[in-house]
Amino acid sequence: MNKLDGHSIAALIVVALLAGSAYVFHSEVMKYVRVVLEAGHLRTGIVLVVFVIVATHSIKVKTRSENGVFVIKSGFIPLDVFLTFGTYSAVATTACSLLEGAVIQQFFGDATYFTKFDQLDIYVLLGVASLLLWYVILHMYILARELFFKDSPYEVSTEERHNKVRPREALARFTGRLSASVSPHTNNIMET
Amino acid sequence: MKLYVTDESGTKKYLSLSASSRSDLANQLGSQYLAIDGVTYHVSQVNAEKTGETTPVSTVLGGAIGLVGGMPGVLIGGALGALFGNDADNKDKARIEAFNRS
Repeated sequence: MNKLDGHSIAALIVVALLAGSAYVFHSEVMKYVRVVLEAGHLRTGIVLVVFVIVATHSIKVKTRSENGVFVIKSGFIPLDVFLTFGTYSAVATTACSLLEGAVIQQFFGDATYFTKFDQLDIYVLLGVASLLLWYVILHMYILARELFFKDSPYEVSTEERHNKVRPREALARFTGRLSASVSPHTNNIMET
Repeated sequence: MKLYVTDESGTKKYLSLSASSRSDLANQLGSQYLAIDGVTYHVSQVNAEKTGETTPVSTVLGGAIGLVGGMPGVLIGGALGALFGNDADNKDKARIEAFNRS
């Protein structure tokens, strides 16, 4: 039998609990969602998290390849950090604002943010804003995960140092050969 | 994706570097060799591995953002989160395999 994936099961349980809560406590959940979106704490929180992660990642994980943190790569690190932070935070704050407007107009109806938008446009807007928010938060999580590894300090070396046999290694090899050459029956050291 | 070398005792030593291939790593270092704790390794001894699963986190995140749309929003968000997270995991796996093959 295959081993069960604990993380996926836990994720499924969390989503089921969220769905159940949204169904049972619908009005309370919607009120809470409105408070979170209108207060602007989500926006501020995401901007702070983006700044901390982009800055820390660019300092700690050195890269010049496409695997790096930077959305824009000019080669001048401070400019790249600034532009990357600006891109992520602009996407996140715009997504929060669009989500706030679409949710209040669609589900509460006490304010009209988008006057010439149909129902379908509002739903598409909800989907796009949610997707943008999801993208930024997930990307920050992936970058943050790389920061939690304890890295070993390294330095550039040479072929000579790689090929050089160190005294301790030589001694270990010699002792290994010696013990391998001892006969278990005679306890004598055979000539190698 | 995280790069590492394995020392003589079998302990993984993680590098604060990111590269798409071993030749890219050598270009970044400016050398084919790097030393950690006094031991010199060739770039061919550097391997890549996953830092963790993205799918579960993406599922929960999708569900949480979907809260704005009530119960259907949570279910749709969770399903889409799982789908996109799985895609991200597959891409990560392809990048790791590409590095380890290089």
